[in-house]
Amino acid sequence: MLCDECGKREATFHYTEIINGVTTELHLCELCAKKRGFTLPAAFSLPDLLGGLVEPEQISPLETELICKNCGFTYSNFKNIGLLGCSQCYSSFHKMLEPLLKKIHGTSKHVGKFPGRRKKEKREKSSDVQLLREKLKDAVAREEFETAAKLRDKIKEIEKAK
Amino acid sequence: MELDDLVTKTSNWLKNKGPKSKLVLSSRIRLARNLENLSFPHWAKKKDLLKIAQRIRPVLKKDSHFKNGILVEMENLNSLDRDFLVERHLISPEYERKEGRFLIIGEGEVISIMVNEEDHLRIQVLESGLQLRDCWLLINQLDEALNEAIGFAFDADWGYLTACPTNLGTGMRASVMVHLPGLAITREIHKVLPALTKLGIVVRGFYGEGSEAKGNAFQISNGATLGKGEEEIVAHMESLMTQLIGYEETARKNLLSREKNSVENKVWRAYGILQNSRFLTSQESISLLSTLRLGIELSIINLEMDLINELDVLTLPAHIQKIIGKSLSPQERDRARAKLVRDRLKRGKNV
Ligand SMILES: [Zn+2]
Ligand SMILES: [Zn+2]
Repeated sequence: MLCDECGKREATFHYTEIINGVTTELHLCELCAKKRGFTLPAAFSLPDLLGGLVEPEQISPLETELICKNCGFTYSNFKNIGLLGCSQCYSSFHKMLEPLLKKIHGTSKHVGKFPGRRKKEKREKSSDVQLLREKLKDAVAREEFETAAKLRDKIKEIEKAK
Repeated sequence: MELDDLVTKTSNWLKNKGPKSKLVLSSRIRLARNLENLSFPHWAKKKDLLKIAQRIRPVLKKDSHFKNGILVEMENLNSLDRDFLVERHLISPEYERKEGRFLIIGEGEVISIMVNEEDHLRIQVLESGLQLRDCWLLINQLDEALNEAIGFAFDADWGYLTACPTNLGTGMRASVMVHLPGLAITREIHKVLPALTKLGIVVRGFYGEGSEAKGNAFQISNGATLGKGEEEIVAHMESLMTQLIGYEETARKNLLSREKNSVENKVWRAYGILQNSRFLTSQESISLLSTLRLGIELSIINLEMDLINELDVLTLPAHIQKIIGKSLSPQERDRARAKLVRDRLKRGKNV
């Protein structure tokens, strides 16, 4: 069998890989396998994922011309490679990224830790109440009333503190 | 310490010490971090990459976690050493050997940081057995210390800002490598792993036809990085792993009660081949070592598990060549691999 990648040399590495139910077979020669590092390949390729997520009609031609003032990266660059140009790109492309994040992660709100110097900020954030409200709605929908009651008390507490 | 010193050393994650280390080979947590406002590595100009590396290098060098560490400038690395570090789980295969990129490795290879890979920093903690919680405590403390010195890009709504939006939020990937021959042989794996993926867990590995060829090892990691806290992710992963281990143990029990003779036969034959081969391909050795590992776990054969852990890594292509000290053709490698396995099994025989 010849190598899938170069089609020239004999394939000596045979992968049958299943990532989340999708089977991929790969037969590679020594050289091409080495080029790939012959370890587990990435779970998915982002451009593919984005291809599926960002529907073309959602983006007007104007929006694709968006450019990050800090680093010069454009939104169409992002659509091509799936990576952003700098941390500022997140605010430059905020409107477009929001729905995308919801599709990737199921939410667009960070609930993990804040770096040390910004911990205070976290306590003062009003959007925490918003998040609690969302959780409350979920809990009610799932009929987890005990959790819901706790969440309700927490929200009251925060609002009173203000 | 130099890079070559690692060849003969055993990484901590191979030491078979952690809890549940019979089934869980290793636990790893990785954090993606970036500097504010500077271009991500793929978009940064060479001089910017150098500037970023210059800013990070002194901070890492003076951090106590890297006191007896190794610093590897990627541009100076040959391809064999690169492959060696990939096999060692210290770098990704995509990490480019170019200026402005360096890797720093702490003692025992528990902590390592890739600078200017996909993100400015990729911080990793790798331990043996099921120790995600300990990995988290260690990496969190290091992360906070580095943030004090460097200041990472962060947004109150979106968390840590990463080059790829799939890592946004915690920037954390918690993963566990598990050995599931029981589920694989009994074919239960076809039910269990898809169920995990429905819970938002990413499973990487090889199962179905020919899964033995990959040693029945599976990497299981969290999917989403946004909308869940780090502790929550760790707790969730640990509880899922405990369940998964339970399934695997049941599968093994069933296997032993139904097919004891055939399992015993398989294990002893694997041992026989490993003891006597003159040529051994990488795939064959991975598969036979997995069978031997199962044999030890089921008390069919009495060998040190450390020996198997060690052989799992030493028999990988770049490791073989580093041990021999030169680059080898695939056939020369198969011969060297067979000899190495024979010698180690002879030395480590405890039967
Ligand atoms: Zn090829
Ligand atoms: Zn930018």
